[in-house]
Amino acid sequence: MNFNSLDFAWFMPLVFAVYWLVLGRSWRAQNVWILVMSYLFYGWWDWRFCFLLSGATIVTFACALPATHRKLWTTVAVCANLANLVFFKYFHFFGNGLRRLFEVFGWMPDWFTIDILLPVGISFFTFQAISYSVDVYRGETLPTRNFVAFAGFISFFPQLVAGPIERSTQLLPQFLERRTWDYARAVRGMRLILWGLFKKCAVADGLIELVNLLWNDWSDDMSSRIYFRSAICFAIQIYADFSGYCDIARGAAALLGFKLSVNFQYPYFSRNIIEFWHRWHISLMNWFTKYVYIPIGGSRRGNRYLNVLVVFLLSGLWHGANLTFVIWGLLCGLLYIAALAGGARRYRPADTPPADRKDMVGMIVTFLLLALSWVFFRAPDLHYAMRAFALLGPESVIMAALCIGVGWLITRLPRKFNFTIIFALLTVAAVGWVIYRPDPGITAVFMRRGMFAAILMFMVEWRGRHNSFALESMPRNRYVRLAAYLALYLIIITAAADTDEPFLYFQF
Amino acid sequence: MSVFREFTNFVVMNPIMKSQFKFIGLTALLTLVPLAVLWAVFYATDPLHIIRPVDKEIEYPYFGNKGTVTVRNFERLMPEKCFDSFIFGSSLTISTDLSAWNSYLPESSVPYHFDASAMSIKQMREYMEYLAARAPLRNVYIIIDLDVIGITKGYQRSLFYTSPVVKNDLLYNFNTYFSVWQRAISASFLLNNVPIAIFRNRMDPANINPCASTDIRLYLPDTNTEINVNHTPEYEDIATRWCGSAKDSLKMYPPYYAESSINDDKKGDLRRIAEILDSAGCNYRFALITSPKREKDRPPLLNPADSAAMREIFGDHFVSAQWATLEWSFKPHATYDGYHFTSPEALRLLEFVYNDSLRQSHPGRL
Repeated sequence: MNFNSLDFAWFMPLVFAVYWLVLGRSWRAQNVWILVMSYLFYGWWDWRFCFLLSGATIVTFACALPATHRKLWTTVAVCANLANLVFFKYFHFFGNGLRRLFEVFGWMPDWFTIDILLPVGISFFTFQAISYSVDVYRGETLPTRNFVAFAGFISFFPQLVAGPIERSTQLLPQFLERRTWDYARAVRGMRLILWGLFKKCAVADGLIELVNLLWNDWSDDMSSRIYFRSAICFAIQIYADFSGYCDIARGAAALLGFKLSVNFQYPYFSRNIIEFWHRWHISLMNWFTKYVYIPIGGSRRGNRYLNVLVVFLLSGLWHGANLTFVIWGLLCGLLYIAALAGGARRYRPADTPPADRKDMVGMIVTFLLLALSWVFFRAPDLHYAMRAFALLGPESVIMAALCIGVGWLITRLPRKFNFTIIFALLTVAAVGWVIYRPDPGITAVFMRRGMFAAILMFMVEWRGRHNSFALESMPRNRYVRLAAYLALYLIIITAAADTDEPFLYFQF
Repeated sequence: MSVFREFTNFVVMNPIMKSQFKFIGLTALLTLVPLAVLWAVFYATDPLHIIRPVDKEIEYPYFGNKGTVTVRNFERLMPEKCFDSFIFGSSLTISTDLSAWNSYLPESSVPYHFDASAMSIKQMREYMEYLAARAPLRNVYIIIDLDVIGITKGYQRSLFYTSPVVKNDLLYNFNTYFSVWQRAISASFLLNNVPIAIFRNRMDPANINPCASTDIRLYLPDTNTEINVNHTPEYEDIATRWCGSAKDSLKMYPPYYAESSINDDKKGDLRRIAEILDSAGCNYRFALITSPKREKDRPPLLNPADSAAMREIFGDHFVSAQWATLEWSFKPHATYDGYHFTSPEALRLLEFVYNDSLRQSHPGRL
């Protein structure tokens, strides 16, 4: 069940109404309700996935219970979960490699080409289960004996299929206590859902046609400028898609009285690559830091750069069983190491203020480097990636330089300059284009609707970058607020009526 | 009443629940009221002509209302014209000239082009049942292609809705109206068509509808009149581009037999169609054709087992024109969009189907 589907439009109100109005007095009954509805949510894709999920839950729960031989039971739980992941996600990747190896020796085994269905979100709930086993082993969390609460923690539907990956110390205790109704939190949840849907339906899905110009609809007649724009648009699309999902997940959880971690903290407003990785997919990076980077030595033991590289390579592999993801991970790791070696400042979102207009050049350079790395991420294979780079051509370097130049000009603008003026000018230009020359104007504006939505998204996020999400502080005037809600809502329903694209990160 | 009073008392006395109800009420208000307004606007303006009969040209590149418009036209014109002969089925030969078909029919036949392209076999059966109850079925010419046979569902999103008038099923009708409404409030429809409506006079007519050369003709109130216009000059450019490559690619990729796709359900529907036509004493032809659209794929032919099933059900009424249409598709300008046959080719098919001697003399191979 997708968050941007009609199914979810009846599912969520049903869950909410029963959860608070019928079961509001018993948190245990609420847990059972969440569990049942989470399995319904997950089984909506394929009911067979539920067995996999319940299997992982039972094994992880049972292995955490024995008080003796903790190491052994933790190893069993971690291995079982990893085996699950490897079998379903990486069988083809490694199987094809092995098959090629066997073919060198003249053996043609057929069993390597078994068609295995990839369960949605397997990487997310597997990592969450592993984190629980390890946390129990380390004594950072106590093993719970409440199976329903634990199963709810693993299968919690808002974050089940695309995160954030929650640690047991953060989410599990919330299942073991009474949730109280909080009107303000519920309103906040609705705002998060509204903003997440806007990002997904209007921005991410609105950009699909432009992105596809580089990946599906390319032709030799088009100029590099168009492909450059496609690459940029994909960088925006993946952010809007994934962070939109996470916003909806946080919002849905807030409606049920839960607090999920922030997974994206305005990553494209990062001043360098290091800061970006503290703001992008935070829960995954925290997971790798805690369970991989620190155990292999972190920045203290061994070769720090090598440890960073290992983390990024694993992170690439986590995204998918494809060489392009490995190269993407490697490239991101190298960029990170280059920034470290170059002495780039280590901005941490927790203790440094967010970027300002004077940081625009750094932000644009970081964004362009990332857009480059996303080419590998988006490409279905290396051949596609190489072709995409060929299409981007040398003209893209000039375009990139132009972008940086614009960034530099922005830093020179007076402090009182308001970005809303730029958006207003763009809107006037678009309308003027349609009025002046309706023939190409209508098509051109229609094709660029996703870009308009993206500009609006970045403007709102820039304004709200000091908060945990963009719509956290809304105008005080209730009519202005109402108008903003309605405008966003109308944009969402008109955009959603066009497409029912699933979220990009569901494939992971 | 007392239960209700107790309930409201409970709610009033419980501030938490009161707050929850307030939240739910406000959320529902903010989400449902705009939807209701949009529905009201849709109902009042009926932009896709699905709610009320229309008597003017529809200008949008939209397929969903095709069945509705056709059925409404039929109902509007039937009392006056008393149709008794119908063309049915695939859109591949949508440009069939009705007066030409009339020359193969007994005198005083009144034909109607029942445009319901790409209808599945199940939909075809539904339309046939609908027609049988409203008109004498003297002559019927059904054209069917492999794509149509392969359709397994009753309808697909935004394409090929069976008219709600025909279906008369509450859930289905709700789904249909909802889907069409969803289409009408979509960004692609609004962003394209609202400016077009405003700036129509300043636009090149060719750019008003990207599908102008084909689809727009299908949804006119009087399909019969408009469909017979010869559009060949408009298609020259497209046809040259497409058919040249189709010819080469067909030689490179020779046809193959598709997997069997007529299951028991479809057989049941086909039998029902045959039963309706036979019981009406209808003079009918059931023509199976192929399409030249697959530029870089091998074109599939109907599986021999499916062909046998069709022959068993329809007997001599079944005409396989697959090889013939494949051969004609080599000709430049055979189609106007790489998919649908032009008017002359549709007439050629008509001749092939109704002229037994011509059919027997055709070698049946490329």
